[in-house]
Amino acid sequence: MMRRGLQVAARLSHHGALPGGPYILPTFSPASAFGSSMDSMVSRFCQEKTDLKNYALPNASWCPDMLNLYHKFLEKTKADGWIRLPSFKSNRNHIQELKLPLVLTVSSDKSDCHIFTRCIETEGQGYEYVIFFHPSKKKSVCLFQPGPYLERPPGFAHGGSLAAMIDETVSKTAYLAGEGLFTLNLNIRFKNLIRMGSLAVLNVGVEKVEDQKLYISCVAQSTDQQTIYTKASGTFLQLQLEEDSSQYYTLCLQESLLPTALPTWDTLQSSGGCPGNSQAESRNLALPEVRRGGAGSSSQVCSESASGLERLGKAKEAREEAGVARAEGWLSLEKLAVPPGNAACGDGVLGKGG
Amino acid sequence: MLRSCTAALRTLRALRGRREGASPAARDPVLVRRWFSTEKVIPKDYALPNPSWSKDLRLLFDQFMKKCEDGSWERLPSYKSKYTQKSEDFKTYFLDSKLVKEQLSQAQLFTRGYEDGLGFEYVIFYNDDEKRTVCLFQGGPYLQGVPGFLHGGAIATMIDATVGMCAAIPGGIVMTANLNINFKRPIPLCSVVVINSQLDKIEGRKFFLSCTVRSVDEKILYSEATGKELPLSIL
Repeated sequence: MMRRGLQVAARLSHHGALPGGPYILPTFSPASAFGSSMDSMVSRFCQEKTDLKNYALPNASWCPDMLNLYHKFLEKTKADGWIRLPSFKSNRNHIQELKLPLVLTVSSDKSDCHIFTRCIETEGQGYEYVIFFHPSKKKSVCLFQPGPYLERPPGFAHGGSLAAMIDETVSKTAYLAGEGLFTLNLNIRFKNLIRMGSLAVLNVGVEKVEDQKLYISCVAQSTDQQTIYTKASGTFLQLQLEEDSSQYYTLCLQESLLPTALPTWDTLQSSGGCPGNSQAESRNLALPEVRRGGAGSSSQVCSESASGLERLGKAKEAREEAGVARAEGWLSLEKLAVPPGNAACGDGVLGKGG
Repeated sequence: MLRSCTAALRTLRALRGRREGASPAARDPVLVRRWFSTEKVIPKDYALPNPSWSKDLRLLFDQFMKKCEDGSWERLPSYKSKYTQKSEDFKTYFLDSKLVKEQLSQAQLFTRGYEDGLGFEYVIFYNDDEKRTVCLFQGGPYLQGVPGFLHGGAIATMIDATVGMCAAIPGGIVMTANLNINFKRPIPLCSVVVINSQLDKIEGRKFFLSCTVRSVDEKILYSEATGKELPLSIL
């Protein structure tokens, strides 16, 4: 348990320094990640034996185009390897028994939380959508029909609602295709407005996976593919969710990943003292463990690479910088994914502008 | 009957009316007619504090209301839906007459369709000199993505709304052509963020804007975004 915890912590603290390529980390193997682990992720995600209401099923508000395509894809689920993704009220329902690597205890983390795209319950008024996912091709298709509650220009769907739908579909694809959890970048180019009540078909594909980031593209078009509504691309941070087992294990994860979890100012302030300082003390205690673990495993892997030592040096710099940021109370998603000054990671998509 | 998006139009008209000293009602004959009709509809302004607003949000709101006193800042009222003459023109120009009226009559502004505190709680302030909009936003439990955090799409919606408003005040009805958002940190659910949007340049009829999403004390940068808006008439 301890070793596994440290390995995970090590992986997350120094992954960015190593080239995305033919190396295999102790606990995270890109080669095997898309094999049996994806199947188990998908089956856990789909929760077939559950009483939860599945919103991704036809109802009276669906237009004929949507029903036709839905049945067409349903046929494909039988033979061509497509999977229809269920859609529950909260993302928490999709990942039961998994622990988020976060120390968040906001009061809103209760049963009344709804996923944004399923909060308008009245049929046909808000988001009507269903996502079909193809595990081996790492592609998704989303059938989306915006309702009157999503309106902005009269008679057309709100740009923001479409952005949310794109984010939702791309997030689910990123999660199932490669454990992508947080959106790092979203670039949407709106070409045409979507008429309210009409169908938009979102085609999503994973372009590449590099340096713990997934690059995904999405094109939204009309049923007959004559009109393109939007073209979008997104980048996601890969973060493995672990089983909710021992307390120490999750503590290791928490200590190494605290930087991505913003302190909950309400809960911390209520316990007295400055939130940043109290957190920093506990983090500083954990840091030496992370560093030791990081140095050990990274040197094993880097020994095969010619410029491994150089990268190790950069990794150390990155960790020290990260360590400073952690002591200050928080760390950005960027630092977790891309250490500064590392040419191997390139400019990535993080730096790309509009 | 068209009732949504025109909330923005009404706001714009009110803003321009106030600035020029004329009363909003006098500039909108449709509105005047409605006021004298038996069916008196006084739209609710959602950009005002309600019980679900957290302390942070109220404090910020008060700070900005103080800034409004000298006229450099304006608070933009926000309605769920509104029917004006301009939206009728939009309808006849862009839509065909076969559009089902019942469908449109149910329409409401997307971001105001939730009960107090559950979804989007926000107010937008505008500074004409700096061409800047500031949106104070509190995301409720119905906007969840990753459990405990705000959905990326929800913050994208708010960025789109703020950036859109920043372009719409000088530019009239605009449509977002491009939105590029870099998420730096996830936003915890039910926290308050300040979305700051700035008009960078106008090239021909295109508006280029940038936007940042920060925490209340401005120490944490949650996201950065750039956007391009186009006036709808050129589409």
